[in-house]
Amino acid sequence: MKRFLKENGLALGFGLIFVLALVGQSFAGHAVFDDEQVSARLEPIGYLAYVTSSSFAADVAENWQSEYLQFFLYIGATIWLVQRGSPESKRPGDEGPGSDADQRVGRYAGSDSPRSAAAEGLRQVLYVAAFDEQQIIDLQRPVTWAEYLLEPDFWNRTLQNWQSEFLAVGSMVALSIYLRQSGSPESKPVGASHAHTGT
Amino acid sequence: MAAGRGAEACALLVPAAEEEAAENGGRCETGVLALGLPESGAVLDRQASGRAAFVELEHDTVFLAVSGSEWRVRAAGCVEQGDAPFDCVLEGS
Repeated sequence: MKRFLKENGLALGFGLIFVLALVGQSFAGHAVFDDEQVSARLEPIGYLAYVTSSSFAADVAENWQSEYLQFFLYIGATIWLVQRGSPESKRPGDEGPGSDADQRVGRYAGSDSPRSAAAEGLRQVLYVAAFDEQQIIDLQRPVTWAEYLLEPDFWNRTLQNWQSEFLAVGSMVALSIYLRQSGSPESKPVGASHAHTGT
Repeated sequence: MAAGRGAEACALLVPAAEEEAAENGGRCETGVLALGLPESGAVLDRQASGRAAFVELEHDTVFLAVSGSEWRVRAAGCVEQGDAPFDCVLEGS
């Protein structure tokens, strides 16, 4: 058991933080939903009703497709396209699906995550703008940046992104044990064993 | 509605729609009847998404909002206007 945990710490670790973020999102999302119900002078709904609603489902899955598209598109595109100077690219001349014995692939698994994280600042600008728009539509006072950090809406949107990124990176780590893509620098060589670790 | 049961109709409205109906006749019970909303008829189509639902009836189209464990009428007597929002006889937003 201890050995299993030690040898699968990466996938389990990401699985755990994914679940924690998802649970956090469900509480924050429920608080947002009921705040809006009260604003419209409607009755709040229960936690169970919220987590089984399409509102929660949409919030949970909204970013999944873009996260996976990001990975799959990148894996496919890097077979044929190169970018001089980029550590993520094969060298010019290596384009195509042919085997690349020199590629050092495992270390690139999940490397899309920091770039996604770098976009977080822009997203938060969009979040507060969207939140303020809704506030005004609801005839409520818009909030400042500092006030917004205390709003469940902020945590709902933030944890929504975090859990989807954790899930995507974690599952890519797990899938990369068994799946190969020849010609992609994101994959280990086709002939490498399942047990092969690192680059 | 045809039976003149205004109070029962008002109990199905969201608070904002109730107020809107009251503006038409002093009280919701009388105002909602004076609006001349069409008879509903059979349900042809219904779609719920999160807190909102759209119900197309034989002679009317209504928009609902979730309130606790129930659905309340947010807008009724709605007529489609192409790509523009529906034009509703009763609308509480």
